[in-house]
Amino acid sequence: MTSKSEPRVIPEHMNPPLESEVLVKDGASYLQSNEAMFTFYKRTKGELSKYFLGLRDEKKIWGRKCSKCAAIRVPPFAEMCPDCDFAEMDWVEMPDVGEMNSTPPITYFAHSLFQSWVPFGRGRVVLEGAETALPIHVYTTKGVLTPFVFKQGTPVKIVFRDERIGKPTDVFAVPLEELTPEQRSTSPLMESELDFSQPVEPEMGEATDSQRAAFDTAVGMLEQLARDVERSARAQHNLAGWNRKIAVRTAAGDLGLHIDDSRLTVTRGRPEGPPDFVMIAEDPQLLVDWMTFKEALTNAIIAGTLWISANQEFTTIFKLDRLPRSTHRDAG
Amino acid sequence: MRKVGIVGAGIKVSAKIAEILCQQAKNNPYAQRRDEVVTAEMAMNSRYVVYPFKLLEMCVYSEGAGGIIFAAEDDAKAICRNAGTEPVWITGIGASNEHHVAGPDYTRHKYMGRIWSDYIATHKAYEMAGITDPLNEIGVVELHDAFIKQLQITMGEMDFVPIGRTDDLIEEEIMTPGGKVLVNPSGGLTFGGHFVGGSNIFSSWSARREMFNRGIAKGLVHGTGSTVAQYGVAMVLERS
Repeated sequence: MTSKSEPRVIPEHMNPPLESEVLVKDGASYLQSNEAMFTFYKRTKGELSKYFLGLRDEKKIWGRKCSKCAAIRVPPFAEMCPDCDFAEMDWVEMPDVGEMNSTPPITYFAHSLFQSWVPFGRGRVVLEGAETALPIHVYTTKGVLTPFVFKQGTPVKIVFRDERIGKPTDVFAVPLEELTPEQRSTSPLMESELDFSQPVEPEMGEATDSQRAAFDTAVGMLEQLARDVERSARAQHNLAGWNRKIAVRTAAGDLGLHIDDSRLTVTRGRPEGPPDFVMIAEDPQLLVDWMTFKEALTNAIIAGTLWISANQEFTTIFKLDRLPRSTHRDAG
Repeated sequence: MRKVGIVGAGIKVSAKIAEILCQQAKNNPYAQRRDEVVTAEMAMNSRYVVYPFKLLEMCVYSEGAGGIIFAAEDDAKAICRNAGTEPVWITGIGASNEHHVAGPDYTRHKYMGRIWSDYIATHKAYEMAGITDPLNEIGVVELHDAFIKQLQITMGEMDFVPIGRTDDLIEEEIMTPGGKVLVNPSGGLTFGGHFVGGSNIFSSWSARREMFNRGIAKGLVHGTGSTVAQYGVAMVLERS
C-alpha cells in the first residue's frame, strides 16, 4: 500500500488498507485479509544482451551486419540474415546519428507506466549505415514537444540517459540542429550535457482590442477559479502534492499562476523571481475558452496555440485542465 | 505562432468518413455508439489523443461477443435448411504477415505509409474468388477501421482507390451514401465498438446482413492486428 501523500492512480476505494476481518460461515470463523497481487518476473535479454549491455554499460549502440549481403539491422532483432539463407551476422558498433524514418506520432496521454515520459515522440530512427529503423523516444531541448519539431528525414543524434538500466528508454534522440558543434562531435552524448534551459519562446504580435478585453475577462475568471478550488475537494485533489510557479504570458499582458499543494492563486503581472516554467498563449481568449469548456489547454499545446517552456510540465497542464471540470462538478 | 491548420490533405476526408460511419451505425442495433451524433466538424475539432489521431476519428475499445458457424458446403446447406435461412459462401480467403521492423526500403521492411499485409491478403482472396475489379464487383466492405486513417490506407491496399489518392473515397464519392461501395455499414469498429479479437466476427455478420438486406452479390470482410497492422486477413463472401 502506498502512503497517503503520494498521488494515486487507483481510486481510494479500489485500494483498501492492509487489514483483516473475520468471516463466520456455518458456525466456523475464517480470517480474511486484503492482499495485493503483483505481477513481477525476471527475464533475460538472452542473445540480445550485448545490445542492452551496450546501452547500459558501454554507452554504445550495437547493430548486426550480415556476412553475405552486408545489410546492417538496428535494433539487432535477428541473429541470422533472413534474406541470405540465414547467413551469420556480426556485431557492429553504430554511429549515434541518423535521420527520422517517418514523422513520429506523439504520445501526450500515457498510461501510468509511461506518464513520467510524456509528451514523447515515438520515433523510428535510421542510424547512418543501417537499413532498419530503431524505435526510440524523441524529444526537443527547446520547450514542449509539438508536432512541428520532427518530420520524416529530420537529422537526429542519440543521447544516453545519465541513469541507465538496459532498456530501450536508456536512450532518446534530439534534433541535430539543436546541438552545438561540440555536442555534435561528442560520442556518447549524455543527457546531462544537453541544455534544456534555453527554450525558444514563440514570438507574439501586438495585442488587439479583443485580446485586451479577453485578457481582463480571463484574469477575472482565473481569480474566480482559484476561489472555486478552495471549495472543491476534486480540484484540491487534482493539485495535491504539486507546487509550481507559472509565468503566463499573452499578447495582452502577463499573470502568475501559483500552485501550492491543493491551492491555486493568481497574481496580476509577471510573477516575481524565476518561475518553474513559462506558458505563452498569444491570444488570452484561449484561457477563457479553457475555463468555459470550449478548449483544453493540453489540446492547445498540440495545436500550437499554447506553448510551455519545459516538456515535462505537460503534466502540470494536464492538472490545470481538470480544474474547471472539477470545480464545476463540485459546485453541483 | 505556428498552428495546425491542415495536418495532411486527408484531415477533412477522415472527418467526413467519421460522419458517414456514425450515420451508418444507426442501422446497426448492436452498435455501441448507435445513439451518438458525430459530424465531420465535430471530428475535425475533436482533441488529439496521440498526434495525429483525434478522439472522434478512432474506434472505441470495447468488450463483446460474436459467433460464426463455419461449415462445409453440404453441412452449410443442411444447417440453413433447418434454420430457414440462406448461407453465404466464402469464395476467397487470404492471410498475410508482414515485416514488423520499420525501414526505408519498403521491399525489405515495414514502410509506415502502407499496410502490405492487407494488400497481399486481399489480393490472394481476390485471386481465389476470381475478382479482378473490386470496385465494380464488390458491393459491401466491412473492414478493420481501428483508426479512420487506417480505413483509408486499407481501402487503397484493397484496390478500391489508388494508394496516394485515398481522399477519392470522399472526393469521388466512392463511399458516400449512394456511392459505388458500401463501407462499414455496421458503423465499423469506430462506432460499432472494437472488441479486440472478435470485432471481425461482427464485421462478417454485418457484411452478410447487408448482402441479404440490400441484395448485394459479393462482399469483402477484412481484419488486421498486431503492432503496426502487421497481420492482415481478407475474405470474399458471395450469395448463392
